[in-house]
Amino acid sequence: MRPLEEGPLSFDSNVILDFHLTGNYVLLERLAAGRMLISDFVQDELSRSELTPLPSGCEVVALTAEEELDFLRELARTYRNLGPGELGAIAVSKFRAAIFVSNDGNARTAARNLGIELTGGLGLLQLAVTAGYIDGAGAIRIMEEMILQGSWFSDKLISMFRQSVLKN
Amino acid sequence: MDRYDKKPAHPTGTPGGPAAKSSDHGLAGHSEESGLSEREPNIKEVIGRNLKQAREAAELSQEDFAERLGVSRATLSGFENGKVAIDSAKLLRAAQILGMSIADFFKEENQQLALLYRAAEEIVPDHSVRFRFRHKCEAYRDLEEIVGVADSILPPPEYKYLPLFHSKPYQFAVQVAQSERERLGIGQLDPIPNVFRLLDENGVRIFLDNIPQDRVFGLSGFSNLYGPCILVNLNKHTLERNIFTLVHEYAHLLMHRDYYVNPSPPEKKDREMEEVANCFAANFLVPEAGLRAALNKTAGQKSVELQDLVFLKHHFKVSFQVMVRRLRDCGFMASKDHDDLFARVKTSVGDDTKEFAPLDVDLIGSWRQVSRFNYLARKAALGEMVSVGKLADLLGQNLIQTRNEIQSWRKEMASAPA
Repeated sequence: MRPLEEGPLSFDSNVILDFHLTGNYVLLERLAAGRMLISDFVQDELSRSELTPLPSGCEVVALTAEEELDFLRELARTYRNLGPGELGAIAVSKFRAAIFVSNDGNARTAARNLGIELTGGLGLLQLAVTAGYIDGAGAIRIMEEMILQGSWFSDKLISMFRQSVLKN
Repeated sequence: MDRYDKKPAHPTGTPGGPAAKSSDHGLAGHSEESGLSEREPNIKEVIGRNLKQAREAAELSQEDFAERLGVSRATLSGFENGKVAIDSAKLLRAAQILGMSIADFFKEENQQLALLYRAAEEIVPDHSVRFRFRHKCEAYRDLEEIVGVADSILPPPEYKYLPLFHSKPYQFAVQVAQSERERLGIGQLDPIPNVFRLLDENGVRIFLDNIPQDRVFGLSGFSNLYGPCILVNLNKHTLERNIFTLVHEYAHLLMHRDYYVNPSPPEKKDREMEEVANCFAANFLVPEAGLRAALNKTAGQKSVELQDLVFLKHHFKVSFQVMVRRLRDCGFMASKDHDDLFARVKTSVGDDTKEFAPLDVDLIGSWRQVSRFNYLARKAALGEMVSVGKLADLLGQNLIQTRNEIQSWRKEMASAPA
């Protein structure tokens, strides 16, 4: 498994929304500089949510090859409980060998079953602490703001995150 | 952090069931196992077929659609014939133009949803309305399947009018209204407290929308997969009209199911069929026996006055127009009195987007709180059966709206006793 600091990252919409709604877009751009991939389906979902502009430096990825579209169809057929953005982001992860970034349990399960590496919003916050961009208390504050803005993390995950970032 | 959060994988990989067969990309494939089945269409053919069907349903020529899509007509033809692969960016653009969801292009089987509708004049609901309605029907079915309750409610019975066996069509509609009231357990006397809730609980999929075509009052659709579906147009219509439209469309679903054969609604409506549906609706909402009983309590033996009418329309939750007609048709009001009252009220109210002595109850709001669709959405979200993105797609909302909705549901549950 690659370290999170390396390689491309394919984001689903909700993680981007979390950073945007909590005013931490700049932090996200810094963490993912030069390796942020956004499926055009994610781009569409974000524009419907009136989130513009996209994070600077991101690359919008369209699926063009028949093999990619075929994968997308099979993904949609197998995981009927996923939305277009999540499906697109997983497909981009698959074909661009990117780490899938999502907080959604269903999307993460699908990615895990497909052997795709994954992380989530809290993983990025932890990376921000490790990289020295923010301190542990700051990371916890951002997580709490994300929850206030509609994000959801399990109690167990929150507890692990707190312990981890404060230890750092 | 959560890279180390090893949540166990979903036991089946999907709520829909385990993967049937692995393919190169690690996903289940509907591949030919027996070797006898027909060749499965490839992705280009599936998308092409759906694209063509949607374009034709939208009544767009290849030239027009190609121009809006930003490709040549020959390229569009290649997409539609399954010869040329369309990329996701073009697919998104096509979805936007046609008012569809991306997932619609991947559908293998196109379930036909035939339509009938109620409108003020000879107006046919345009394709965007039909797409929206269809999308809502599909979303309802998807949600049922995700939660695991598909096909758990039987559709209402079908009542077929047979000229050789039944009395005249209008008398038949009265009989069906009486039968349905008995079947639904509301008897022949009482007003219906909330007809949206009543029909929803009995397997009718009800959708509300603000259709820009405000002269279209409502639409209904039927298919074996989606069941009976009704769309009520809230745009510029009174609650009384919404109620009557709902029951009018319900009448079509009960008595005219054979007519649900065409995904495009008929250009020319059958006048008698519409009148029969109106007759059903009037009798279902205001049964004669119930009207007589209510009148005995209000007017007694005296002639019906305006204040009696206001009471009765509130009691049965219908429009003033429906109420006076029922009184006349049931012989409780002379035709002349009906005409006088009708003219007086029409003059004072003005246009037909307003109602005399309107209902002051939030029937739709109270129904929404307990509607089956909302319940299924909530159950799917709180049970983590569906992703936020999928739920937003099913609810026709953007992600922020859906996140806020889920958050309010979670808060409600968090305040529940341990």
